[in-house]
Amino acid sequence: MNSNAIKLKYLFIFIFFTLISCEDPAPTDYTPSYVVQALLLVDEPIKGFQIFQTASLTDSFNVENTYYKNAEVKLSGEGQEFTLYWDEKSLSYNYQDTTYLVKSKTQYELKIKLSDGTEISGTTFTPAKFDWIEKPPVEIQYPKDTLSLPSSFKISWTKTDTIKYYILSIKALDTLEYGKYLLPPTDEKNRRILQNWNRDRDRYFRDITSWGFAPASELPGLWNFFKWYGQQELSVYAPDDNFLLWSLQVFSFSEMNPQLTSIKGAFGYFGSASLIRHQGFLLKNQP
Amino acid sequence: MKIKFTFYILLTLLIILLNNNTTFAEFKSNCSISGFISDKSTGETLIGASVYINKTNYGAITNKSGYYTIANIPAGNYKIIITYLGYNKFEKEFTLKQNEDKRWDISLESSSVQGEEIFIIAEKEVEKRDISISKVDVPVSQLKEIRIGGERDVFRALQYLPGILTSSQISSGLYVRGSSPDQNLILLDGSPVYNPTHLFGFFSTFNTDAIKDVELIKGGFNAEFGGRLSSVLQITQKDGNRNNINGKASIGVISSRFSLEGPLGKGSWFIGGRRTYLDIIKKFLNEDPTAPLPDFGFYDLNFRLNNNITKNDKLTLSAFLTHDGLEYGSSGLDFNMDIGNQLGAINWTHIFSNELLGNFNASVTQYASGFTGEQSDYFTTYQNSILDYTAKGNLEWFVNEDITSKFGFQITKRNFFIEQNFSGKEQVDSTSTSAGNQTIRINDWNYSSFVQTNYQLNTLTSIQAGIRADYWNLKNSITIDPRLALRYQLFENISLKFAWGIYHQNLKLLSDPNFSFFDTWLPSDSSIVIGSSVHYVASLETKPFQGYDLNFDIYYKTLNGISEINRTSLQQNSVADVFYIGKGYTYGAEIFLQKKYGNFTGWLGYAYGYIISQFDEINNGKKFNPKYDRRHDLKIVGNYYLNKSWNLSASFLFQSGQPYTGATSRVRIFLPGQSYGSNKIINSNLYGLRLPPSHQLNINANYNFSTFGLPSTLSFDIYNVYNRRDIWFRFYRTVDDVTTVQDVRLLPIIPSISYEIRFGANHE
Repeated sequence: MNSNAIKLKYLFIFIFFTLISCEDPAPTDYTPSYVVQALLLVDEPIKGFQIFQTASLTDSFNVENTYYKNAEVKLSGEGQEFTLYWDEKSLSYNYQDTTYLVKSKTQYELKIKLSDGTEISGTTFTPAKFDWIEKPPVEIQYPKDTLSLPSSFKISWTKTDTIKYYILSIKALDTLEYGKYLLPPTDEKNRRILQNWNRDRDRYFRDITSWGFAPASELPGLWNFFKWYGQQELSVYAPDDNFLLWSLQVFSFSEMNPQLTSIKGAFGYFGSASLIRHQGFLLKNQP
Repeated sequence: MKIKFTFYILLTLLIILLNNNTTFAEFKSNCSISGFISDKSTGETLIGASVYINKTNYGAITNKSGYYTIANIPAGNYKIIITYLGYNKFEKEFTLKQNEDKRWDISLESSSVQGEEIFIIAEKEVEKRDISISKVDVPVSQLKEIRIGGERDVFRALQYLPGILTSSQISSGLYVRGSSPDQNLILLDGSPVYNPTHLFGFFSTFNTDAIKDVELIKGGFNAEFGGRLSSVLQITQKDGNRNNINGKASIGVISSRFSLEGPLGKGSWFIGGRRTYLDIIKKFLNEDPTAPLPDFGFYDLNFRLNNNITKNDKLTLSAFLTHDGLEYGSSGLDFNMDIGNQLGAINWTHIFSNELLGNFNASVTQYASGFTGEQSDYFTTYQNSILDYTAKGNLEWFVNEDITSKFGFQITKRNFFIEQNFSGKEQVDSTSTSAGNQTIRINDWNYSSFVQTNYQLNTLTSIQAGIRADYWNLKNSITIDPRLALRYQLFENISLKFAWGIYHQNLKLLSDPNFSFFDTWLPSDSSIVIGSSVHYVASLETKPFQGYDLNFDIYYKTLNGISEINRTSLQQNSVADVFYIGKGYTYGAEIFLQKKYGNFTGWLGYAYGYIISQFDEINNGKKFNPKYDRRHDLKIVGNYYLNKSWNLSASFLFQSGQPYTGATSRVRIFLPGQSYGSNKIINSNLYGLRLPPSHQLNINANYNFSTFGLPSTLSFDIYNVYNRRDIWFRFYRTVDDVTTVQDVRLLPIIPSISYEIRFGANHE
């Protein structure tokens, strides 16, 4: 082999390794960030504010280790200031005076100070109240025809002009017991509502609540919305844009998107919503 | 100020070039020769054939109509030499009398094997007149040999050229020199195609059996083309066989194709189509009604009819139809999805004189996509379409052997329609919110005109200067695009080319880079800027060895007013609510070594490039490399004609991995009432890291034989020969408490076989 051929060979080897060396392994360096979730519900006490410090990717995740408990959390609105305290039982910041109820059509401001000097702030304008026009029946029979699942009831509520999307949730109030709520009571147990698309997804059932967006104030009953039979609570939220964007963050993105954050100084939101609720019972279509 | 100055220089240059030539009559003191070059057996006109008058500097290349003109030749005796890949050389002596305008339509005989040396002489002289830069000239017959899963696909083949990147191996989108696919002008017989994809982007819509010519200009394109920032892809359909009825049918793993062509009066016709058959196969399967397979299929249809009404008039009708459909129904959920293009065009080519050729085109093209879904009486609908009416014309004036001028106009009306109804009602009523029910109808007009002149200053230097003006009605804005190209013959075998130009794009595309689901085109309205770009391209073209072409290109391209989807928008009241608008720039270098003739053909291409984007709303306003940025891009394609029975081909690519985004930490967030919540990661710098390199080898073999006396071909393909599962995307899996990094990988090895049978008097 002449020297030129050898040089050429080394040149190709050099080029090959130069090309394949352009690869970065996934990093595991930890840079903590803060996440704030603060929602005001009209006609309800000020409660449930949460602050998290994000966790390292290399450690096993434990949500309890991520709660930030020593923040100074202050809210102002209607010319009043509300200082929130950390409640270990609910794992959230609450306002002690539960007789104070959040007003509708009112601006509130949030200010948070963390021990490292981080300042977080946000503003929300609470939406107007609304009410049911047509509630779902107290007892609902799940269809026997599970292929076409025809709707058998509808729900509606008074429309609020400023609302872009309503947010609906159905919470299974008792995932274990079923028969004890019947008349006469039985010892029949509750069970999951399995479909082709959720059959192998245990994590789908890890949360007992289903969520959806509704761009209308009247809807048919959507059977795929239910996760369990039995006792249910349906909630309809009329959210402000901050809460709506955060809901989009929760359901549509696997990573934090700063465009969905409505506060300064951290990820998260300070939002508000009006709310209507209803409790009912979903009867099994077969034993 | 700088642009204004350049504009005046170009305008002055144009005036000088045109005034330099006194009057049209003055050139009539000499002779000219012109005509169409066609295939002898089929009558199909040949695009890009070299026409050269031996031992002179006179020569020309046939245009998209297969027409050539050599003007201002002194009277005398000459020999014409015509060469075209896949055809025997044509040479014949002829005489031109004083002031004679000779019309000479010439037919070439096809040849199975290419002699290499015959092209060298003719092409060398003709190429000296070719100023076009970054133009890819790969014969369709070679592009057809690059197959994916047994499917021939023009876009997939073009992805094997240096400087053309993809968003992934499952996308046929062309990212040309760092620009996204919406910045490519795709023309079928001169009419725009707005969604050239099947199977959500996996294949392109162009059936290779119906294609005669493919020309891609990767940058620095001339003033004839406008409305896009990046590149021009011109696809010309077959005219059809003018002498005999011929046909072709083939069966593949994914689809079947059929085409038929034949003579009609003084012209010909061609019809071709293909369709998938998953829906047919599905009928024979015993399905579980609770878990049915979705109905999916696509088809496309190409039609062309042409007639030489007179010796100087050719009329062509073209039609193109594509459709992709998906249907599913089970567990109370029914939906269907339709995506399609429809195109109809009429084209009139008129030869006013040997020196003046006119081309006029009127077309209607529509792209529409839609989705309808129903779940327990809750209805959702999304429909969108773009309907384009275009009338355009151009005059090509072959002033003399040194000067060619082209003038043109274009009037386009585009109707945009978007309807989304997520209200749950089939008919929207008062219970719907403003965000849940939106209908957008926009009508926009675009008026364009251009003028450009090619001028051979001397035996070494040619220049092309052009200018294009567009008026965008909705935006009420005029854009001026000057373009300039220069060719300098450095040595006998080495030429240098430079191009510079300003480009504007009024249209924005709402699309996902991974899948082509509901691509939605929107015009720039008062809320959004028109996209603009400046191209700087330099090229060195040479023939280092006999039969080989070697090109070095370097480029720099600025991009302003480019768009990314705003996925966080809650309601779209204007175009600005749909997109983030940003800027960027790309630069790089390309090497392309190509062998076009002989038993062994193919190319080796390497590109080194950078793509940088910047949007205020993305990555905290910092610059980033988009997902399709790859630093190194190496491609090797080879076709070997073994004998009459066998020909073999292989394609290999090696590319730097795509960028991906790393993470710095994780968190769990909750909505009211949630018992578990939702795990999220916190990103680090957007696309700041790089995946492992991609590489892949595909091999193909064709076996030619006869079936009941009819010529047939069995094609064997192995996609991804050594089963390299490249990474499509990387993500952090946070479903469990322990965070893991997961890679979603692309297609494994896929062997496939297809069978083709041809019938009629002539075959390819």
